[in-house]
Amino acid sequence: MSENGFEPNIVAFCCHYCAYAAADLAGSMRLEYPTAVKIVELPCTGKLDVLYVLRAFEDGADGVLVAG
Amino acid sequence: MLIIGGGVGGMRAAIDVAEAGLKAYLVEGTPALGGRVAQLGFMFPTHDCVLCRGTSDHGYGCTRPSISPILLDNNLHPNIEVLTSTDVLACDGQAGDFTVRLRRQPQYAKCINCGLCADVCPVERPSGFQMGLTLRKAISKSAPRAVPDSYYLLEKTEACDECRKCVEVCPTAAVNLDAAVTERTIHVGAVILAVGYKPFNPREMQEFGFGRFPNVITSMQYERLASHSGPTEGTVARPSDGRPPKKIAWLQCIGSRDQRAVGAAQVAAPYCSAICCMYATKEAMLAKQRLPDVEAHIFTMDERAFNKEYNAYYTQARDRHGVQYTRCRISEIRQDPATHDLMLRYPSGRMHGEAAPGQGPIVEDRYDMVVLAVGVRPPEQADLLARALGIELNEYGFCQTDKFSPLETSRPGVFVCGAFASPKEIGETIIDASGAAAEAMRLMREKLGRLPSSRQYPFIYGEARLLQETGLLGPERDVTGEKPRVGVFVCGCGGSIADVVNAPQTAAFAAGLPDVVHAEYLPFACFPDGLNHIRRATIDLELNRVVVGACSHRTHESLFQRTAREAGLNPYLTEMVNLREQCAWVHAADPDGATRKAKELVRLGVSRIRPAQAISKEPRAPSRTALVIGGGVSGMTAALAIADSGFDVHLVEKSDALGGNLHHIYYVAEGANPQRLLRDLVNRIIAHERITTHMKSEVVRHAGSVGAFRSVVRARAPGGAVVETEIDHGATVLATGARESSDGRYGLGLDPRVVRQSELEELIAHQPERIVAMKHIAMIQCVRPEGAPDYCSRTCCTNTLKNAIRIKMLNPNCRVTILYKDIITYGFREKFYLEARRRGVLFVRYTDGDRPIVEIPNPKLQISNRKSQIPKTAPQSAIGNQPSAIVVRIHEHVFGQTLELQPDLIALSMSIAPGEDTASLAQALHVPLSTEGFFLEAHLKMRPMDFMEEGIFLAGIAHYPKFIEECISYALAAAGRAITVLSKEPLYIGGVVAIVDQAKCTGCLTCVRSCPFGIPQIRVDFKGVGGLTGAAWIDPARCQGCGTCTAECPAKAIELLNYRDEQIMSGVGRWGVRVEHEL
Repeated sequence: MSENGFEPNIVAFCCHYCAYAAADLAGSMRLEYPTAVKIVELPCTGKLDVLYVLRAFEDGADGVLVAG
Repeated sequence: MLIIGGGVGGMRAAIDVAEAGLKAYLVEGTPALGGRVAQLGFMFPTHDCVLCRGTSDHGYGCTRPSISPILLDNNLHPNIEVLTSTDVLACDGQAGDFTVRLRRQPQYAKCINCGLCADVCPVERPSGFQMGLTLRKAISKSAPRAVPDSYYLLEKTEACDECRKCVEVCPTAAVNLDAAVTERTIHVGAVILAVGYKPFNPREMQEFGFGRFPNVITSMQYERLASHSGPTEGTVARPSDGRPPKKIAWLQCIGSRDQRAVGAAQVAAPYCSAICCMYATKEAMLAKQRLPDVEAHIFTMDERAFNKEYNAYYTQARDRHGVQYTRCRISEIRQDPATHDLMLRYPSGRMHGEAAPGQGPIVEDRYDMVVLAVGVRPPEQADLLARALGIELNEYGFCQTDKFSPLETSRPGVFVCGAFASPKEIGETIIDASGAAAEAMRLMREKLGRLPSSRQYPFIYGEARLLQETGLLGPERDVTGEKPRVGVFVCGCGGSIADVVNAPQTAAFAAGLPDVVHAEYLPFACFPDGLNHIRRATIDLELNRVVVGACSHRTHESLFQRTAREAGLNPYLTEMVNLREQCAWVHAADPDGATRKAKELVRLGVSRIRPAQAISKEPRAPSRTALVIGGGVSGMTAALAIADSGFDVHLVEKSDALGGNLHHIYYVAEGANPQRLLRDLVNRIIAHERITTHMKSEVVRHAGSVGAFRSVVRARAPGGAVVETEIDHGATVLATGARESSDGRYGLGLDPRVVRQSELEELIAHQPERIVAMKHIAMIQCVRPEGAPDYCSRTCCTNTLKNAIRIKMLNPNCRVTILYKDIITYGFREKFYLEARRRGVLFVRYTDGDRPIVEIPNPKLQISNRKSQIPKTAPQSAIGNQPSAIVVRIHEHVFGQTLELQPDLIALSMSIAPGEDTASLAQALHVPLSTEGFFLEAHLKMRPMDFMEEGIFLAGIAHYPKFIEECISYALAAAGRAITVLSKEPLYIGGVVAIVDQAKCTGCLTCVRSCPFGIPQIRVDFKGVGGLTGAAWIDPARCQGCGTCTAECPAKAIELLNYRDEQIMSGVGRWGVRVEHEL
């Protein structure tokens, strides 16, 4: 959280096979990241529809991360 | 079936055996599966990350059905029983009926992986997984993602002083220090050895200072430093001061290609370890990519880049990434005691791949870090295992095998795969493993398909039959049209979740979400009590959707899916919410935030499951017939393995004789008789009642999908008539081979004294008297046709040495000079290089920039390999007119002088090129080709005998040049994979696949173009939008489920089941609004 109290709400679209697995590993290794990052699993980042990104922003996400 | 060794080879073999419906015991001496591969950060040449330890649910390279899905805790293949920390004591009986005695260390079955025991444990030991770079507790887990994912104790006597703090702190009472070692006897039909290798310990070679100089590390330690799961999370740093290194050297052949006896055991390793050249190149390239301005310098004798895509990888490292290669063997390392920098002395001017002007003066260079590329030694337990199983070891301590039965040990029914037979990389180990599984299947053919269990929905094959037998799975309840009734179960994971996330509060929050009729907190959802509770609640409360907030769905989804299915619910009506790996474990310092996030995640899960629909899979009775294309050694071996296992085979051969390239091999370096092998194979094929041969035939059409292919075979009957036959088959094996290329290089075809290596072999075999009359024979390696891609043909060096040795045996006075770039005698083949040198064969190295020049006297024409200068018409033969000498000039780089040779005969090692019909066949079968023009498998390392298209398998030198024994292993592997398809009754197709709503489809071809697997097609028999002709169709048996087409379709006519837009959007839409709550 920054000094002014703003904590960006981040939606992370993660490929099941790599980024989602890496997020699991981050857990196994007890790494830390802000709770404002929430992961949505996709079977492949090819599945990412631009509408998903727009919908996330529309509903108040401050940032969208696509990892795959 | 017993598989000994839980590395990548053992896991692959276990999976194949299990998929063929046989029981597999997978026994591993250490507490976790994964073997050496689990310790690697990245693989060459694909640079795939190996974080998942080879056990994640997809394998590698985004290839859905791959090696690993079966090998996860709680998601284990029902036919596989994993026995870790287990040793084999004895094995009695005979092939088909062995009795094996096992000894197992205590297991902590109830471990939930929370790590409290390790936190309180006071004893620290060097971590074996991290190659001693870090410490771990006496009670610990070998790696962040171990399989089984649980903590265990090092042997008590070794480290633990029994303070029992771990016992007190364990929330599930899993830790039991008093548990006894157990013994057990099992009965199996066959045994597969997959015990791998041991890296050489360079402490035995004092001159490299390993153990004394902190910045001298082994290649395995470097792998750990470069791995994201390593002690430095992938940041390479100098052990002495933690600085990023600026200059790193790799020394090759440490403990390989070395005839000195070293160590306490005084063992020499004169063989080549086969993997070090490439892994060092990988490590150097990774260093170049990640460390700014680093200098990477590899000192090597020969660069053995002998496999598919390896040469391109090596040249990329050298030319694009600037990795320096110097050809020499470093004899010692000295350390600057003040800085811990390391000093190497080597001759300058001996660079790789460039014109070699001659050797320069000796220089001394300073390095920040030196990596010893340590070789492959027999596994630790080789001797014990050999005694327990009664098998023989070879002169180097590896498992003894025969040239033409590469996967058989000296004891019938006991097979071997991977590095225990000879040094091997991952891909070849996988091939061996599937091949050994095929050998075991052949032995156990009566039992194939008997255990029709699967880890995936519908969990058993032939459900109806098993339903009666087991009474386990009742009929599935149809919930279509019902209002969603969601049950939410929040797991505390014995504190792993509940200590951070307020799990009861999260459950209470869930109870207030729409359509949720039941929500509760469970301390252990995945324990039998928890599962029973979920099953009962689902039935009693008539739940039609289940959400489990627990750990990762990657590890536990199928467990809860199965539980739902047992309660009569379609498994796709369950949803897992990741509250452990992606919440509690990463937010331990922020319990309030973690609880808020948990609620948000649970709300997402509920929103996502509400619109979910049941997904069913279609049963398909596969055709129990295989089509094998190509009648060479690979095709015949595959056909026999499949037919021996009880399936019909159609064997299609283009020419009028079976045997392929084997016809032109008269002897092999190892001494076995290939012509006898040929005769045996052909006789067995002809006599086999299940094999139908189609001679002078080609496959012209190949349609359908796994289990239900239909091919058209076109035969050229005598008299020119063409006959076409349709064949229905369940699986296809491609074994179409390759050929020795031919070109006018170095005067080939112009002068009869210039021949191809195979012609020399024929001469030696049939007219040895001509060899006896010769005084000097020159051989030129690495000759490829103009414009042909540059790759190593792998077999030529050994072939050349084989012929050179034969010549020296026939006529010791005949000079033999071999002009070479790199001598590729990997593995135990190194002994032929040694023998040739001992017999006085001369080796002169040339480089691409400075090739030999051959002068043919008649016509007066100078031919180099640089430009094609071959006249269209062949000149007069010089034979009979007392020909003047051929002159070969070569620049000798050590002395910097030009040598002039006048050989009686020049033999050219021509490259092995893909078969002429490879491209057309690739088109007919819709399979891809590699840059070299060979067939391209699904994944270079992890799926070498599969194509992306299920049901089509690859074997032999249609993949890449190979030795006979490698072709045999490969053919067996392809056969084994085919049998896993053929033995299923029925196959289930579909699941999470893309489906087209034809009423919306405009036939715009976007899906056809965007599919990475080429599966969608526009069918004219379908009506699209507005009833217009032509709409897309996606074969559910072939769809890989990536969903790319659904994102691209402009008409939104395609949906991916279980990931429908409605499900994802309704979830994503909730992200914006935070959960407000009081804490």
